[in-house]
Amino acid sequence: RAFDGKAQTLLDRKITIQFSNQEIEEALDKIEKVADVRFMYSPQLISASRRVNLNFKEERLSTILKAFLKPLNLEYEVVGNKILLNRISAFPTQNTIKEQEKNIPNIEVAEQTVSGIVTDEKGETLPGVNILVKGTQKGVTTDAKGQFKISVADGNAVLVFTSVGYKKQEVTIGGKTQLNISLQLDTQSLEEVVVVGYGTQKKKDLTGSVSSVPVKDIDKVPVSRADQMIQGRVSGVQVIQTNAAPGGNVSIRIRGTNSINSGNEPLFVVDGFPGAGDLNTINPSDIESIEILKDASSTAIYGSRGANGVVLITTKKGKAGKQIINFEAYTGIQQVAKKYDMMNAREFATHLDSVTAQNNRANGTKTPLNYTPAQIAAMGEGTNWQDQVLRVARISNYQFSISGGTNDTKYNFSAGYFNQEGIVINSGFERGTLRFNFDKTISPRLKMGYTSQLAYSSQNDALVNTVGGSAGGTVYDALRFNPVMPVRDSTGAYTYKNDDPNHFVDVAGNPVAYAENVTDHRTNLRTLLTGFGEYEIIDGLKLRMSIGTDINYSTRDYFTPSYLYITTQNTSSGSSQKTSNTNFSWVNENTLTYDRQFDKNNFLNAVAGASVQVFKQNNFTAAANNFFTNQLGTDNLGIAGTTLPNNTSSQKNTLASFFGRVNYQFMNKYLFTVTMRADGSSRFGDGNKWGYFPSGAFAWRLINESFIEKLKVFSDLKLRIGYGVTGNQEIGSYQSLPQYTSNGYTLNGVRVIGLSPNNIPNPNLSWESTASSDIGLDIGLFNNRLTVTTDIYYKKTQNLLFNKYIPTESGFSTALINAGSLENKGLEISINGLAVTTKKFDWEVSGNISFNRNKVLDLNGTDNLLAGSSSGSIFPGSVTPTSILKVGEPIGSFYGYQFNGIWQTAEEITASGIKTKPKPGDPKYVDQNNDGIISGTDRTIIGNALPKFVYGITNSFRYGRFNLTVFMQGVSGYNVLNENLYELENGFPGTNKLKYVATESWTGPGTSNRLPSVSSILRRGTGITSEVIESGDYLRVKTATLSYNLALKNASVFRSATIYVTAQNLFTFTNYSGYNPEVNSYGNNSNANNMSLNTDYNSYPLARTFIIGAKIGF
Amino acid sequence: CKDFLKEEPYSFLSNSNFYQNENDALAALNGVFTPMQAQSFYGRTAWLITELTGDNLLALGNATVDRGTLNNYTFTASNGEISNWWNQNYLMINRANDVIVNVPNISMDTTRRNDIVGNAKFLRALAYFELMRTFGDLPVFLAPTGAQSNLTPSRTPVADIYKLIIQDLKYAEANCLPENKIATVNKGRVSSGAASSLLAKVYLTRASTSAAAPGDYADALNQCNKVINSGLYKLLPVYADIFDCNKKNGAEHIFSVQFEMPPSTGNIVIRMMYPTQSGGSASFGASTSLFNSYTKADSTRKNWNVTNKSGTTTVSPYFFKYRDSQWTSQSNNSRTNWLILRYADVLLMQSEAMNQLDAGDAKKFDGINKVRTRAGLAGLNLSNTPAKDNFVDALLNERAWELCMEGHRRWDLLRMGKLKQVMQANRGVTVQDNQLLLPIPQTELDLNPNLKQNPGF
Repeated sequence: RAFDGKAQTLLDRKITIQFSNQEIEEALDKIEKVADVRFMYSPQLISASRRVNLNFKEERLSTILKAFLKPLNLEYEVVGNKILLNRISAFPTQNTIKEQEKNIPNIEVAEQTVSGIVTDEKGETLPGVNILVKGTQKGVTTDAKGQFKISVADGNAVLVFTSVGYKKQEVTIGGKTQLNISLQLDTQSLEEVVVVGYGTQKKKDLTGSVSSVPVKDIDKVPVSRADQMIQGRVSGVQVIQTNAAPGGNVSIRIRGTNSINSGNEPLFVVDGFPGAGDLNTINPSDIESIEILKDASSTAIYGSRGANGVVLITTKKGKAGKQIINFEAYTGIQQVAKKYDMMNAREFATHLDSVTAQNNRANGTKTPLNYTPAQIAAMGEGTNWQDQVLRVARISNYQFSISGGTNDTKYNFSAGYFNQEGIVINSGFERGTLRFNFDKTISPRLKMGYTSQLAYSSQNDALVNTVGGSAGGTVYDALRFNPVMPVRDSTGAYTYKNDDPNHFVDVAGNPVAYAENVTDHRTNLRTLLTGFGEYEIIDGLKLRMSIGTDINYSTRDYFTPSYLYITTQNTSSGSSQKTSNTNFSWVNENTLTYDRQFDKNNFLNAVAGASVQVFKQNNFTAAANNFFTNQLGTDNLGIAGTTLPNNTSSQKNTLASFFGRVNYQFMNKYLFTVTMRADGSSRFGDGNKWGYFPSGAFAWRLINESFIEKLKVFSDLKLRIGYGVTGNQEIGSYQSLPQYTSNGYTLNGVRVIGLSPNNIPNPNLSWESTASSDIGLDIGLFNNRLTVTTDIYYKKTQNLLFNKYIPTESGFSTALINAGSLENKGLEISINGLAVTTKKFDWEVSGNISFNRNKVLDLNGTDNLLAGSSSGSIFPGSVTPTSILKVGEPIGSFYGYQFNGIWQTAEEITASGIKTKPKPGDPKYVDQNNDGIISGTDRTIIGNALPKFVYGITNSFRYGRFNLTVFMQGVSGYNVLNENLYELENGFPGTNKLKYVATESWTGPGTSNRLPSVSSILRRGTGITSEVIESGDYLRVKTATLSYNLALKNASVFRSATIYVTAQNLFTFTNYSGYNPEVNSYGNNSNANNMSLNTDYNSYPLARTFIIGAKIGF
Repeated sequence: CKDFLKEEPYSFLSNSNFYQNENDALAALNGVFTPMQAQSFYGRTAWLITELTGDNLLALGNATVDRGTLNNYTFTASNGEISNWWNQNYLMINRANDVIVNVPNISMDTTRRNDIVGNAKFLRALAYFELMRTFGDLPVFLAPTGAQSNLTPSRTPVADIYKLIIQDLKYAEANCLPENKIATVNKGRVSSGAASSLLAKVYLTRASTSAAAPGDYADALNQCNKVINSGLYKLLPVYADIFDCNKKNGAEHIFSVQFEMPPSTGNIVIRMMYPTQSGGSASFGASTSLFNSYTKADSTRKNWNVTNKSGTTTVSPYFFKYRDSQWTSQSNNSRTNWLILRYADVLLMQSEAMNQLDAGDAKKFDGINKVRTRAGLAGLNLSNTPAKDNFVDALLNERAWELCMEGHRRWDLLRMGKLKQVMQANRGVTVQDNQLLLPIPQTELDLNPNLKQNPGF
């Protein structure tokens, strides 16, 4: 036979193999491993009882195959990198009707002949697929082009299609003579290959804790960004969208929070480029796979950036075969999922009068009432300001891709456009992406590949998550604004200022005016390019050199026109700010990989490499006030009356690394992995530039032990144990150097520049290191219809990059040092099951649950530190800490006063002996130290921001051509600090309140033990109190998708067509009173102390989304 | 590889590329001044510390706990404003230390170099003086804080700190430029006269304490006379002109913290003092005791300083002293300078020192009477103010009428030994003996085990 060049290379491989008295199937298995080839054959070809002997040393595969197959009456054909086995026969290999091995009665008379093509889910033809007529022994296999022909008795016959690595499929013939079948990949398959750092591995060979996100399943429903593919889908990972606005921030925690002052986000590696981290700029439709490396044995290869886990994203590459074109479009609407129930005009006016009357009685004053009964009677609902700033918003997405290629040249091109309006007016997010991936085999030993993405995003931000008070906030003002006021006055102008009849809303302006007229526009243009060349120096030894670059240009334009009355930020004359940031990074990585099977029991895979990476940043900000015209916005700051100081900054940091990993397999049962990385980072002190991060892991494939096999319970069983040390270098650059930073003073009325020391330099600054151990168990039952993966882990982070508080006598309040330690320990379980599978109906369920416990072990000798910050407008004068870091307690412990009901009577107050003299109707706080005064020392831990467990459940149902997928996700055992309640329940009387405040507040002894009197300001005057700390527990029906695969005629130009409807955030089961318990208003703030967790203040409301879409393949 | 990992600063200056020349020295000096503009320093906290603990200023309405407790003497070591006061003074001290240690190594014109160091020494002395009057014994830092510094020093006795202050001020007096030699563009810097005036105040203050040295009153008088006889300063004929934002850094102004509209830093004091009807935040009021204490003849100063009118509406009395034509309703920004030393204060100090040295010397009325004359009041003399004590009372009143809400009241009452008595009489607040010093912030005690709290806190 003649083979093409590529096939010849494959057949020229020299292997050493030896076995005696092996079953044929086992023998083929072994050859597959040693020669790194794959056989495709129909089981009927092979007689189970026959045993063979082979003994070859450094012999060409073709010779071995010939010697091996000939006696079996088999021949072979190379298709791609697969070897297709066929019976040697007089018939042509195509469309061969196979006779049976056994002596069965003669073939029934064929009344009907069916032919067709079998493809995989991508549309690529599948050779070697076994096709059996159900209930008979009659079968055929597909040829090299995936074609088959079989004769059956009648139209009631059912064909069963099976192929290793794909799900079984049964088809009733009916009247058809032509059948085109697409087989679905069996994701449960242990042959599944997963991407790991600097390489790939078969899932069954993994020794570390690696979770693959089931991208193929998730891909069926519309997702707007990559993090949505991760949330709730894999164990050990908590994804929190801290800002529900389109394009809003997301925080990802893998196995808990490791660091107090340094970064806690995982390292993102996109197509091998480490540190390409913005999930907003990656088109989710382009993603082929997402792997999450969780334990040190798998992340240690990323050394100083591995401590928080690693997310590996691989984009789709072209495949040899037919050209595939896909088009997808969806569109939908979004609506606020939940609103606050505020007072309407009549209720508010009545309430305000009643507060004034109560205050008059209490203080003996005679302040006139704000509204007369006649005025109130004439009022209706008034303005529902929430409705005024919220809207029903559109969402839509268009995706086009074309891919294909030959064995030597493969390509994938895609274009996507996504547009999401925000439910707050004038907010929204748009993204356009272009991707081109290209792979080329230049010669049998030389390959190259290239990936590229250009992404542009454009975002309009609503004013949310502000500090409130005079700084205003769109949603916040919509809540607190007086409902008696109309949006516009009788002349049609905005009611700018809410000073009638009282100075109600501080100094903030009309939120509708703000939302409609203020521009806060961000753009981001990002190019991510990677390319590699790979040369096989000798068999099994490959040199790979890659280079990548990430260029990220972002801008922000902020403009407030002069006619807008808001706040005190010099806006009465207009203000504007223009910012641009350029981030540039390049990386060069060079690796040598060696793969070798020494004999049937010893297999080695080793990788060694070196890399350098450089990060550069340039920032520019210009600002101006006082515009005589509003026509030009931020496009001409030169016409402003007042130009504010410009700011520019520039920085660079570098990373140099050496790394290596050895995987060794013994007897296909014992797997060993040893990894080491040495990282040198410019960010650390001169004497501490280099860090070393080792790890080791062992896995035991129990399933291959005869005593387990004998049990006949398991279809897979593997125990994994690993330990390693990883690092964290996510502090800003230049922290080890003395920094003089600029400030200003005024001389003779003119601003002059000053320069002052900004830090205590620490020349000894070094890595934060996390030592972690992991024990995991992979279990497969019922032929892997049920698989369970469970891990327990313990992580201890030491030498925390710690902003130590130092006495301010020094002129500084903190110094960055390496000190302190904390731990995370946890248990995670994920389960996948095919609960029901019949011809018509499948039910697949998968779930995961993760428990993590965090504990601070040491704070550089001190027992506790206050952390977190609250809104400066709720507690003016000083930033009130919201939480405490305390030895023995977890991070995120809310710290404040314990609420204990309402003071009912003066007698009760006198009897209690409290010296601070509250009034009846004031809230009562626990005097922890019994000194009669409620002061700072009475604060205690009143909640925690870190959940006890997070979980996700996916149910997929198929009924005929219908698929229904319901994904639920939940977080449990944690608290949210709802700072909104300081204003919506309590505090200044002039702002609008929640509806129940009018009826449920304390009005006299025995009336309420929960809500204080409307005239009480004690809650706000006290600080962080337990009655505004709420349970954040929730269970959310995150997505529900119903899709229908259209039945396509054979001659159709379409390859596939699916239509679907999806609901996102359909229901949320929670007791949380705010918009959304998945929140952190301070999560967006770049300089926020990352200890301000789960704080809700002036946040963006959650949207519920309904989408309809279609996917068409050509 | 070593070079590849070396950190190169781009957009900031580090020890490798700073303190190279005169411009660097001037920028570093500006940085020492900067903290004073903060709200947590002379923008707000300074007068919370000095005026709320006196009898003239009232914290109103929804006062923060920090302000309310200062006002009624229930403050604790957790008071945020006391922390601000401590922190900002020490911030300025560290920056001054940086200049004092590094600038002398720059090769440049010696006179100009010494002027820069003199400015820094004045500011360091001012900060230590403020802290010492507030807290007593202090941890002392005389070199910039670095990785090797002792971060947990114990408290140095007041007497030693006075010596350091006097030493710094003498250097400043000798090396800073006289007022008339300071170029217009540099108005706001420390003059030789400012150092002389502050030195007078330091001597006068020390004389009233247990750390008193013989000759303090004479030294105080000598310093006052130096300023008066220099002829570089004079009383502005019109009282209102002192506070006119278009006439800042004039003949009567000896040393002020500079404020200006953005892009400089504005002063929030107007917004905080004014009632809501006038566009302010109504955070503070003037005490009725002060409001009612002005005599009829003293209407010029009274009408300028305090009022109970917002337009035509009658409101609780408030300080109307600070005004700025460019201030807009509800704005945090005004151009109002914060006056630390002005000539009227020096004249009154001259009278105070002379009264202590020789109560029978009729010349002691010269200073106070110049101030009274400008206000349109008749002079005092030995017959209407015969005794030493009467004169102390007269001085105390005169200082309140002239200098109210300028950050002097607590120190005046303390220096003249009248704090407890006046607070009881005018505010009904009982001041405990230990409250003549404020508590050291609790956070500092927590972080520095060598720091011991003042008694009673």
